[in-house]
Amino acid sequence: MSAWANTRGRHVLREFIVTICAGDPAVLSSVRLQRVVLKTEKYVGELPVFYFLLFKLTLYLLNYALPPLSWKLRPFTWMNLEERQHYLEEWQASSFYYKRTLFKMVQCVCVSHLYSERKLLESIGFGESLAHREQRSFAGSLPMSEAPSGPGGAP
Amino acid sequence: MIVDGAHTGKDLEERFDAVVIGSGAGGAVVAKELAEGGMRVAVLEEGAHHKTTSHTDLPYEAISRLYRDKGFTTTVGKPAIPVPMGRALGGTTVINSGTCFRTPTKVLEHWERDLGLHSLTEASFNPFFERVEREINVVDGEFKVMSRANTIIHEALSKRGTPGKALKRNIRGCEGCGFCCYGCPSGAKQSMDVSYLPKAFLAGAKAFTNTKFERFLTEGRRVVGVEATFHRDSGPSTGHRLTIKAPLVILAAGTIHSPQLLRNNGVAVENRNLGRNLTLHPATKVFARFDEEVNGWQGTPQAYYSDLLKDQGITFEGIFVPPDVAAMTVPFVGRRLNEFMRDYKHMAAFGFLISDSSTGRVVRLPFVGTTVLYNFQEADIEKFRTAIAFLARVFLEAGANKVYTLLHGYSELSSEADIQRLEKGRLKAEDIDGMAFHPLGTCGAGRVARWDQRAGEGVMIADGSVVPESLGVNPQVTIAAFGLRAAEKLLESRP
Repeated sequence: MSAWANTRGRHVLREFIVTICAGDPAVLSSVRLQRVVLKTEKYVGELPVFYFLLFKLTLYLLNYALPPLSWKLRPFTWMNLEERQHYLEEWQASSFYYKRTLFKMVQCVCVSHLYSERKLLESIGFGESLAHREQRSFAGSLPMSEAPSGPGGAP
Repeated sequence: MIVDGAHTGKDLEERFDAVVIGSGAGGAVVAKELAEGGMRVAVLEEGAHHKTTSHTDLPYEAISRLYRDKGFTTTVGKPAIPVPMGRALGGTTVINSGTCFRTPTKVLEHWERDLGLHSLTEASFNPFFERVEREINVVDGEFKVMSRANTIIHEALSKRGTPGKALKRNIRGCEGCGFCCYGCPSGAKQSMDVSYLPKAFLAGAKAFTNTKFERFLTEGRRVVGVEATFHRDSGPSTGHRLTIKAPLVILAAGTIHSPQLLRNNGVAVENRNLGRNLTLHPATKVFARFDEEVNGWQGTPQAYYSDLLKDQGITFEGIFVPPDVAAMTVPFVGRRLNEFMRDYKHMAAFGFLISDSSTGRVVRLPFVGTTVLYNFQEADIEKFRTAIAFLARVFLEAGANKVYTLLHGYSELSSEADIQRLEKGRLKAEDIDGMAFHPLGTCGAGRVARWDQRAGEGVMIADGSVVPESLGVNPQVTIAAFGLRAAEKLLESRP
């Protein structure tokens, strides 16, 4: 299910991610948006079925602004950036718990993929720590890699 | 020896003296002890074996790789809270913070006095604690590798005259790179995959990874083995099966899955406590913005604690998450999210966990699978309010410009008046955004399992599910001690 979104779904996902960072050029210039969308899509496609369906449903509800969760009666993608931002803020601050929770699920997946872009992390100051992690190749005193493998064992 | 189920390419049938289902804090200990005691032992692990050298990815990628359900395991109830659990050889110890506590004396006294568990005394457990601590090298935390997010709180509490303490951790040569929860890249954290399991393998134990337990094999009421299926890495079945004949099965699949596995196999189903009495440690964190650059991701994120409010069931512990993980929890979108993340190097954070008075249960829901039903009770909501107000005050005293909470309606606190508004205001369970750790109690000793941890003929339990109740502190040493206790009993009763 890794490529579950059609062109429209991908477009909604893309616009959602752009709105989440308020279309900020400082953020968007540090990320490859298409890659973020594809990574997000792949991640969602690999979630357990229940969460996958919930994510898809929420994205649909968010886009079509359907009652009773919303009364905009205008798709999210038709709104301008300012309207979209207000719209997402409404979801996030909603007094209706389930609406807030669904929004949080979609937000948390999209934001984590947006903020996993290396240049963006470097702009925050996290680059050095990240490089440190990537360069580690320590083998412990009793490494599992030296444990003998049986038939079909790990290479 | 490790056999990767993803690559066997055929069905396997083997005989052992004991099979351990799960390789976390409980299972790994049992496996090592039994193997060193001369038994032929198999360990079944649903996750894969991730070598220390593979922990080089981004934290959010590591969550996908090492956490069950990609970190999406969530309770059903108000509020719905994520319960992160590991899915790898070594279990949750691969992704925990390395914090080590013994079972608090008060808790052991309560078990003995109120639950009638006379064999679970401090005197009987101390030798187990000592052995576990020696094996996983539990040492006092060092201030020099502590995240600045922790030392800010240390300085503030010291000024108040109520300093906390450095946490004890299971480490060898920790440099404080700050990635404990995403697979320790230096092998410093003595999780089960680098401490107990290698010794189990040296003693002849055999682990089957990417191997999912399916059912017990029985003769009459007695369990005489298990059947499992091989899987590709976190993916679909390879179509091949593993059959193990063993007169002893030790269930260590974790607090949430062990009761469901028993239920699916008709073991202990007549016991109405099976899967009930689940306790969690609901937890959250508070962010605070300082003028100084905190760079909280440098240094050990969970290295300091305060038990100042332990009588109220609250334990404060350090926590700081890398930016890609923090971004998920920030209660803002748009410009405010950008501002928060731009300022992340100026943010400190500290967390707490509560000893819950709420209890939940494990059920199997259509489409969702095995899940946890759990609702916050009023008393626990008040604990959250108290703890957040306390941390907000400490941070403001320490010079923070602003404190950010994950409470709906109280996301920013910048003055004493704001804190008082939180203290007096309305707070509902669904206003709380947090996580929950350390599930315990669903096959509790004395309730489901017998006092000697047996749950049926040929089945013993050795994971968090057998711990009777909430501890109020991180449970890996307790779970390992229960594992050791189970192994000792098995070796003693061996003909």
